[in-house]
Amino acid sequence: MIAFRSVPAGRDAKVALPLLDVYVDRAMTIPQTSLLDTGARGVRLSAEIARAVGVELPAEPNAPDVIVGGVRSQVHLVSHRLSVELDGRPVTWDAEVAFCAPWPHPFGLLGMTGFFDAFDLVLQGRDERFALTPRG
Amino acid sequence: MGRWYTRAVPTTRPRYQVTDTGRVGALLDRAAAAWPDIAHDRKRLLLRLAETGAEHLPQPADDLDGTLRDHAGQWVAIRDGRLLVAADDATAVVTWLQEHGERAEELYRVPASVEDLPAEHGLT
Repeated sequence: MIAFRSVPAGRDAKVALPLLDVYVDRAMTIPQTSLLDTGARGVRLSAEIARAVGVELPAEPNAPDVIVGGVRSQVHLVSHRLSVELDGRPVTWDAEVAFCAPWPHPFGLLGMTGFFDAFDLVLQGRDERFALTPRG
Repeated sequence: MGRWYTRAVPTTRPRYQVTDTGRVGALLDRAAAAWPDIAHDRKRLLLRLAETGAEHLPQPADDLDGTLRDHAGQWVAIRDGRLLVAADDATAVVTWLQEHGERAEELYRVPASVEDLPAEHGLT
């Protein structure tokens, strides 16, 4: 099981969230901490971070915009290999990833297409933990 | 057995004796090679070694929370529960990691408030 991660959110608030660190670089050196979000239609990650770590994105947006938290982002949709570490071992899968710009949000989003179709999820909210099993 | 003489010092705190030999001596030799500007001062080398080691220890969770609150709204990279770098934009964080050959375990923008957390429009 993976414990929810507590992050400060303002002066006194702290929130525990199901977060996972997703790598777009094969060396797995620079992650994008992302929120498991069943309300997201797909995988939404920062285009800025992706470009900074060397991911080649289409010069122009190639998919409909997404609106997250009231912010409209342009989408560079790319089929890309993603990696996470589960139980100390790297797990990789191929996904259609919406690399979004701008992306001012604290975390990436791991949504239905590209994530929840690649993993089975057990979420134990009361205990603030979850388990992921790759579908293989 | 030799005796260790010292003059009275204005402290009631514990004092520790470290002998510059064996493993300690080898560490100080490495430190001298790394920091030639203070290579002549073995006591300063010892202190810097301790400080450098402490910087690589995991930060207690409460300390990290406090540190992160100071960086609300900024992008941060974290490893071993320790803040590596914080900056106003994500590219600066990635560039710093690359230039310093550092690997991060977490990279995100510290939420400024609960309302700052993302939710995709239309599917909440």
